[in-house]
Amino acid sequence: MKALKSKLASQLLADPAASGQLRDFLVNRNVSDLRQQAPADQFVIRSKDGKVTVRASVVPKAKAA
Amino acid sequence: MNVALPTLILFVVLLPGFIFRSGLKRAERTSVDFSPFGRVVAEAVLWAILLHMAWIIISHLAFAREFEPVVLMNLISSLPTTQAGAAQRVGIEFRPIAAYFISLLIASHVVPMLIRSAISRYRLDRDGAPLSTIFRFHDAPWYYLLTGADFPEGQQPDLISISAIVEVAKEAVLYVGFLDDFYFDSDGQLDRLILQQVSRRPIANDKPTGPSTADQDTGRFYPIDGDNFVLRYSEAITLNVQYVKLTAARAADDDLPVIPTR
Repeated sequence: MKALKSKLASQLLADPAASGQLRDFLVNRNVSDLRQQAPADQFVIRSKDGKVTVRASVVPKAKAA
Repeated sequence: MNVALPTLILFVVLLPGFIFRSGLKRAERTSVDFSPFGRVVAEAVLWAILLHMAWIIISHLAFAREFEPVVLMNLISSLPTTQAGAAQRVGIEFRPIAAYFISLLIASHVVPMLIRSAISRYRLDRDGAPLSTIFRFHDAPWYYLLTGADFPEGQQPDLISISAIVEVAKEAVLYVGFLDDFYFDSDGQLDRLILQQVSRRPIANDKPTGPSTADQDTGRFYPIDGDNFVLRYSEAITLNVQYVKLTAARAADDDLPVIPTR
């Protein structure tokens, strides 16, 4: 069964640089308090159609949302 | 050949209910339905009654055909003479009766698919919806967890990040990636997850001795080359699911402040 993935997410994952940044954001999000600089939550997706800036955030489970 | 006609008649009459019931359920298993037998039969008989009532009303309104319960009773009777008389009546009206049952069987296969699709489309089954106790597919917990079906319309996240701990060579290793696909085994248990953009690190590296830097944090993870990473659920010790929301803002190409990439 296909998992949840929007068109924007597919575009982001198709861009190696942006997907790498998103991955860094997710894995380092909780250790940001140990260092000076928080991980960037804003990325640029580059595709043949141009550039799109996206901001990532982790959202709570639907029931608690 | 000796055929138990009453049994056959009951089977034909109740079959649409069983088909309708199995089509309406969103279950994650492909093997035998292990629901209690009594519940299965009760639900199927209830659906069969409702379907026949609907079809009888349609037959009456559209084709001026009347249901004759006496003929049905005689068909399932144990008296051969009564049965033969009823069978003769059925033979005379064979074409409309055949059309009745064929159309009913087709409808009992198609209608539940449409109902199920409408329930998912309008999110009537999501947790917290007014009628979710009626419409929720209770046999499909992974479906709700991994497709975001519990989020209200317009508030759905964009993708799912999975973190899993797997024991490799007696060492716990944390895998992090984005979920693309998932599969079930025949019993409805999660079988494997297909992840993208996966990186990993040994859990032993989780104990920093002092304040870390961004490079150190990133360096603890080793990106895994490849497009699809298959994670077997049975090998995962723990599984963490995070929903990620992306908010887009298209900007003019050259005016955009581009974040430096690594």
